[in-house]
Amino acid sequence: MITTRYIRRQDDDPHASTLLERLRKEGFFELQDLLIEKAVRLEGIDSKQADRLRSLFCHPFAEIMTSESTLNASRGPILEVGYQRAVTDPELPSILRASQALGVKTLSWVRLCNRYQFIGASREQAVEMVSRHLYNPQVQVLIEPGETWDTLKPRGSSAPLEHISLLNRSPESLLKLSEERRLFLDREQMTALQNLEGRIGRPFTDAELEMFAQTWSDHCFHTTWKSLGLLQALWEATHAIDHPMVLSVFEDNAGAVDFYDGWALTVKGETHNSPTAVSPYGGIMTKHGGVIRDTLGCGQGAKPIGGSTVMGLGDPFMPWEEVPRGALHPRTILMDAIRGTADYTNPMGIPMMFPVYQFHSGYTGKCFALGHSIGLIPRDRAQKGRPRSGDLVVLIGGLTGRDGLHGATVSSSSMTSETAVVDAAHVQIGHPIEERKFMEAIPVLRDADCLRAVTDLGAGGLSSAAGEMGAETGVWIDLARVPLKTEGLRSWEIWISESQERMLLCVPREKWDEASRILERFEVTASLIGRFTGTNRCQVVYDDEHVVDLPFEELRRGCPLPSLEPKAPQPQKKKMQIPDLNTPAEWEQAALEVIAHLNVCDQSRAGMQFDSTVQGCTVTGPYGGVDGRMPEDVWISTPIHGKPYGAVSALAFNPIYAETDPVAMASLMMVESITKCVAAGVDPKEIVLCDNFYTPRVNSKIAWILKHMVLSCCELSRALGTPFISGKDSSSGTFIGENGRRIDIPPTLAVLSLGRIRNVRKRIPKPWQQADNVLILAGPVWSGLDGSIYLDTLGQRGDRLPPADAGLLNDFWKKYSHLAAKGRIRSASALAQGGLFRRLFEMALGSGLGCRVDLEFLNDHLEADSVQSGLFAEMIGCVLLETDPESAEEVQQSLGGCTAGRITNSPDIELRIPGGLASLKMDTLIQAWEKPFQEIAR
Amino acid sequence: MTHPKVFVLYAPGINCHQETMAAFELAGGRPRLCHLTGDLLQGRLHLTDCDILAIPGGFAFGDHIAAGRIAAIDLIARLCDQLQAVREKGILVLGICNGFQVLVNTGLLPGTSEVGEPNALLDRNRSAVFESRWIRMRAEKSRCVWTENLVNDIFHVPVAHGEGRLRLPDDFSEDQTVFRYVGPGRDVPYPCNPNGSPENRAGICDPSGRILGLMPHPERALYPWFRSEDGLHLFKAGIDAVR
Repeated sequence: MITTRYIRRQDDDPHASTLLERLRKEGFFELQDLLIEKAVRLEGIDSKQADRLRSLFCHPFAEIMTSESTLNASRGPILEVGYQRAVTDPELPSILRASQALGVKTLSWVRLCNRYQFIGASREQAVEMVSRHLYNPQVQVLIEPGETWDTLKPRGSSAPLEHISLLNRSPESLLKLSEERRLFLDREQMTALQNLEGRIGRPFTDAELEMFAQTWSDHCFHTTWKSLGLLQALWEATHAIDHPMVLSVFEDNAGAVDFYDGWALTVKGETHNSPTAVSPYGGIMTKHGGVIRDTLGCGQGAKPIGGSTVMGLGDPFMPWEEVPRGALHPRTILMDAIRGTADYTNPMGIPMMFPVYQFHSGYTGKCFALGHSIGLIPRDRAQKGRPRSGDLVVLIGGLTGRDGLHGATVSSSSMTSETAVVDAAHVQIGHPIEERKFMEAIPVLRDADCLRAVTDLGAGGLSSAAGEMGAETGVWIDLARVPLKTEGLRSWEIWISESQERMLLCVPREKWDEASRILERFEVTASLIGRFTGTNRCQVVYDDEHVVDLPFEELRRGCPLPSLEPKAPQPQKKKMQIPDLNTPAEWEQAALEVIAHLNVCDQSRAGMQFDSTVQGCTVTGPYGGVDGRMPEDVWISTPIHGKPYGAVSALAFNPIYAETDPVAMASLMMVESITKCVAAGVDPKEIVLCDNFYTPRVNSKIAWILKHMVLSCCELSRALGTPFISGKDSSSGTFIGENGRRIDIPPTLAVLSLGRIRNVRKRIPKPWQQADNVLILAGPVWSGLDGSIYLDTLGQRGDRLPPADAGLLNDFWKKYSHLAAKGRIRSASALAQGGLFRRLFEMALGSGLGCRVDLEFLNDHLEADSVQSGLFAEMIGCVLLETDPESAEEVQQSLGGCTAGRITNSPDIELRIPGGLASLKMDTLIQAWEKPFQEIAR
Repeated sequence: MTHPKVFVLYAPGINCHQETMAAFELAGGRPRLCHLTGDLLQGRLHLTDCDILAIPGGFAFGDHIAAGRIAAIDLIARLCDQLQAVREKGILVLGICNGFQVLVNTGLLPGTSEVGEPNALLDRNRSAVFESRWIRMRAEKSRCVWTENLVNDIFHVPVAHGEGRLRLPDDFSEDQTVFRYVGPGRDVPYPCNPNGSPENRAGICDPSGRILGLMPHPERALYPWFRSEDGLHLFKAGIDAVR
């Protein structure tokens, strides 16, 4: 029995009016009004019982609930959007709970749909609006009017276990099998499996083949990186540095460093590019959910204390007709990604550190979707315990469904215009409430000694998690004990399902009673699904049937690596023609264009949708200054209540440099990220790094670039003594469009730095403190404009980025820290995209003060070849700092910097330019700076 | 009573309980977590076993259907007697953000209707998006016990919510307005008033003045190294009021 109810707002509906405004802005001028109604389908209850749920579904004076739709069909086309049958509405468990409380006991399933009525628009226009802006065919469906349902529950058809023999197959036939089953295994890998079958003397089960496919995928096995020796190189650099703060590197779900008073910080960055490109809302949620679970699954379970969202996207102003088939419009991705981040990280209650959106045409086919997670854990729990024979395997969190099947293998492959259709199953919708529940329980379990080890379920699902945990001892699992959300799942689907919001625990047998009490108290679903053994084998059954029985040795070490021959690309000269700037008006125009550049402008319209103060520990970030709008360069938190111990973090990511010179960019991202922390007052010897590389599908040229990017990072890391302790790589940044047109992303590296400061009251703020104080530019100056935002506004690139000189940098940072500790530095900001001018603008904005800067003097100091250098050259590693007039000489002598100007009371930026004075009004600058995101992120 | 007993409610999805506990502890209280399902519904604890009841911020039960709705239905349907006892015994109650939404959904605020019959609404923000920013609010002269000694004080504290536009019944008595958003001058434009709440109301109390709900987060402004430590004053005032 299915009963339907309709819910309508009684008066104004901000959601509908915002949407109306947005659609009209998108060019649907015919649209006069937009009405939204919710349809609620309820299974297992009759009309009378449905009416008893009125107080659940509507507010007595804001909404009405009716048994027939209240939309008048003659006023305009009505379209109804709901989730596909395979997808469960996130609200379902809450509705079932409330219905029990209201005494309606037989309700068994619910589906919620939105009905939109487009007044003034034709049906064709309505369909276009819905398909562009309100509906994602990967997870949703358009419900046809009068559609009848026999059940709302997801259904599936079961099939028996298959046995597949690879023997006596030609290499072509093996490849064909790999393709048909969407295994994404290459010829060498399939041949290796063929040989293995010969050794084990029986055909594989479907589950075993699937398990190899995900274990040996580039995403999980890092085949590209391993074949180039890059993981080893990073690992060796970090071990050679042997940094005293480092507790755990690379092996675990996250890296860990010492904090204060027996606590440690953990850090991890994770990308989720492929699902985000086809289904941004669900993909971005999965990204956040996954990286948060990396923190929860680090050591014996850390508490997440900060997170980021960092994206690379195509041009949001791109004409719709130029969007390649099979890709989404960059603006659609941006809007859905903002909504996804808000809907996941806000309920998780983890403060947002960096909301960063960067734009580059290379991301049009495949976007970059990175998230970080910083965690806090007792120092002595930062290492995992080793499962022992007899320990229990416990699965906690959400139910297992057909979600995300083939996520690991798809994320390792190129996306094509067909990916959107074939691999629809790899997309899912997040349920943050499930993850929030165990985020609360895990630290309690840890402190009660209930966890020998813990890990998250992500790509590859149970197969990957149980594989990681059980590899040293052996593990036995019964899939029949896994709670499912869909009937009829095949055993291999349960085994590799990537349903989110699940974790795997290793619980000592004698601790099981206590663990299950704690889990129950936090309302976390837990299932005992197996035990660790001493067999060194991965053994999986479904009731009595053997699903997997393989030695871990073969899974972990049998994978053949691709042979890549890196070949240096031809250097491309990218000529520059820098125009003369003559009048103050021309200078103003140049400055306005720089701060209004999408990669530099005010992104707070997006960023302020994410909770940045939850947990009550935020000292700095992401926005600050007098009116709370100035973008901060660092995030500072005091995660131990009552103590002024600061965790400090900063980020560097620059897709334009990637195009200029990716290898030089790699080093500069490290320098920028570290310098931001140092400028804020962190001792340069107390900083560690996390890397996220994202490159196109490898060919010999990409392999060369990637290899040299990584090696230059390793070299600089050793020279600076600043180690990478965590990171992730993805080599899937290629989109193949119709007619085989290939769009490569720019070689991408985001570097996050993490440091500590014993007393945050000693941090150096970014906003200026006092008029008449002196501004000094110090550090490794550079006058080249190549790769700068300024050049980009002129449609130019350049090809020469400065080298990173470790000796100079170490010396500068050391002296700077010394002056900071002596209280000589009143405010500071490290230079980045947009150069000196961007910092002058932001620091003025954050303080309500202004400045007077002598550009001619500055250019002389830089020995600049163009007049714009002083203002717009992006001197990565340099700091613009404020000091009292009395200390100016001491600071300058120590750092060898140059006096850039003075702080003034009047809130304008006055520039002495060749032959005159340009006075830039803050109001004009602010307007230009805030405009781009007002137009796109609404 | 040197260290008043504070219950901080926990239900799945609530995510500001730890800092709320820290705030009451810093203010001199003795807070403990009180689980809605495990403690209250199973009868281990009673809502009136404390001097102060705090309902923290977060997304109780995912804020599914509407903010605070599912938690309120649990409270009304299964613990109605206890809610009434809280009101009758004059237990001090503080609902912050999602906690405020829960109190409004139960009818405890503005408190002029029966328990279980909500007559006000924290509606979706005028901007239609979640708003996370620092705001300023002023404690008004009101019936509120919590702010008796704080009248006209300005609090610089964060907000972080998607549904904070307070819509009240016509017969709402203005002396139940406890906090208002303030702006640079007489006007309080967006985003100084972050959600479009009429009359710039940020927090209200019930007719007894003992039950207080507000959208901003005082528990996020506790320490001298933060942007502000104004929030602590409210917790101290609550603790003082029951001492």
